[in-house]
Amino acid sequence: MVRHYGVEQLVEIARRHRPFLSGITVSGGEATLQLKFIIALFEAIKADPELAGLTCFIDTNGHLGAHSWGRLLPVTDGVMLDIKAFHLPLHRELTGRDNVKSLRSAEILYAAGKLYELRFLMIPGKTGCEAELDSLINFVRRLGGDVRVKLNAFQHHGVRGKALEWTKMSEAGVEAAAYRLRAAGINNVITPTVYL
Amino acid sequence: MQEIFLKLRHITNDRTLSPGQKARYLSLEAEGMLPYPALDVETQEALDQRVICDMYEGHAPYKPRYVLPDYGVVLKNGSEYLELPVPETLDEAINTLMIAYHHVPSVTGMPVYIGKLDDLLLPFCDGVSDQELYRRIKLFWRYLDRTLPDAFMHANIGPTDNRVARTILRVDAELKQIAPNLTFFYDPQVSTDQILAIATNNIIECCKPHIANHPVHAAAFDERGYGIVSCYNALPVAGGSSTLTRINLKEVALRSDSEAHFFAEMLPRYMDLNFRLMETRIDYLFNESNFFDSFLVAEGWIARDRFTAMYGVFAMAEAVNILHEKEGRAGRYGFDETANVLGHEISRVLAEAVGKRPMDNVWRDRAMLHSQAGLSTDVGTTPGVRIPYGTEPDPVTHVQALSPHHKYYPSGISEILTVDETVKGNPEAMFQLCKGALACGFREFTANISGNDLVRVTGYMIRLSDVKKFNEGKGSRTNTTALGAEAAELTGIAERRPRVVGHELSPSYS
Repeated sequence: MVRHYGVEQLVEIARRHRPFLSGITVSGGEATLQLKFIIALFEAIKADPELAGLTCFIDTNGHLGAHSWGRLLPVTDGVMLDIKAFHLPLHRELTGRDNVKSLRSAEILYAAGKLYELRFLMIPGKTGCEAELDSLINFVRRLGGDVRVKLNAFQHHGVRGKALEWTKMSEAGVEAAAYRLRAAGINNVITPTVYL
Repeated sequence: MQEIFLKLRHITNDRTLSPGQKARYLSLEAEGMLPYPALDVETQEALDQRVICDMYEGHAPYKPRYVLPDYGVVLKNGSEYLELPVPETLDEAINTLMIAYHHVPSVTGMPVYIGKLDDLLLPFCDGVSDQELYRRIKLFWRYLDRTLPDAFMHANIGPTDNRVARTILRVDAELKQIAPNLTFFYDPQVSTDQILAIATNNIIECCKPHIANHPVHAAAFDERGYGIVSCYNALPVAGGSSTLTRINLKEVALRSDSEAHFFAEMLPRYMDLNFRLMETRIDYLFNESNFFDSFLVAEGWIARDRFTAMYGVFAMAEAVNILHEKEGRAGRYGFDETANVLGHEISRVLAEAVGKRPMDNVWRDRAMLHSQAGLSTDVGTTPGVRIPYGTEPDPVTHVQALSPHHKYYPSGISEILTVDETVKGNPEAMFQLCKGALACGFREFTANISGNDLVRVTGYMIRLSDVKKFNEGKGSRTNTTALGAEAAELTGIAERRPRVVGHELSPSYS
């Protein structure tokens, strides 16, 4: 169900919830498709005396160029970035786009000190394969091994279409991958606490 | 007589009861054979119809419902009656407390209050290593659960961040026992964020402790302080509560023609009858039972003039909804602003009336209003002023709907906030929810991690049974349309797990 909100309405909601909040995160869909709106929202939150101290985070696929990040980052405290796949044909198959912008976004965000978390969704037989994990390891090492990496497990709830035919990712598979990342010197690896 | 013998025989021969439990049930039966302390006709009738209720405390109140000894007295003086010397070491202090507990009565026959343990034990901890302290607390904790197995037995700690409190929290999370129950007193001026975080992490681990809003509670009591005992009851230390009787607000609403009739006639009428019921029970305790001749009074563990009377109410939700129906309004309690405001007004009127009525043999001459959390036998009524279980809104809306009640209930009020188990992936959310609830005026913060069917995943709700059916290939009636199209292609909900309690815009899920 779609609802429309203006910046002032969201600020008002944040005010009402202020005692319960340490920050806000915009998610999606793809939140950065609403770039202007996010900038206006974060600016409004940062400027509101009642909301002082709230952090502003973005949950994104990183399909955003350097110029846009340049406008957004001054009012953003951190970004959770999803890398859907490393191998280009696989990324195209999954998303219909290439991943150059997403990978470049990771570099921009890391350099700016605002890459809170790199997320990687493991799909058996697709992104769960060894080659993809090796690419992930190499990519994170190039960025700097201290990046927080979150491994997510592909499950079926909320999924439509042909993806329902794909196998779900098991907890054992995710933990094995996490072990591999850690063995490669990537220490900040997070795995799901609940499989739904 | 034959029938009574059969019942008693049934108890003595019961396969499932221990000899101790049999003795207790036999004693309850014996007390029940005595005539009730004389009630006037109207009060008796209201009691028989259970518009007012004595919590089945028994026919001859020979002990107060809740006793909160000042255990500092026995640790400082020892006990002449119990032939206990003044303890000098941590072992001796714990041993003294272990003995003391067995001499503290309550409505259940077991102590409901085992003290502010960090204040009591810290003076004995100099020179005791962390490892030793941990070992002793662990043994102590095991002893409590095994010998006083009652979930109403309650330990208190805080508000300072100290070794004993930290060790207790560590042991409590490790052992995950039913007993003792535990409350941490939180004071934003005194408690550290670290110890509050340990406490809220423990909630995620084992649904304990409760977090008490210390500044709010402290203001309702005096310099000797208060304890949180049993189920969220705040009572004076070195005293307690003589009795707890309660009004079923649903029954009062059913007997009212309209909202105006409820406020003008029915509520005042049943409030008066509940006062009379309390007075009769208190008179018996103070004037007939000889309870206060106890060594507990002589040695100063408790004082005769520090026992309050808990004026309980429950089924606020049903009362408000019934009155709303009588007035032709549709909004439901917990969700509708008008319904919520009516509830707050009922609480205000109750508090005002309790504040006006002088009572004999009651601490400060006034009863204390209490939002009563229910009996296992209650059917069709919601505890206290809570929102009916299973229909609660998200935790933030929940807190905001109920927080205006809290100032009216100095002897205790509690809501149980049920939080999605995915909070395990984001424990800071629990910490923040706790802080937020207390900042909104909650006297007490209690959360359960569900098991619930209906769970929240970031901004939207899902039913676990739906997920299960879905995963078994039966399809889901309600595929979550709130997921954006792009995300839906790929996004497992596990991906959206963090910040569970943060995104509280109510989702439209049907």
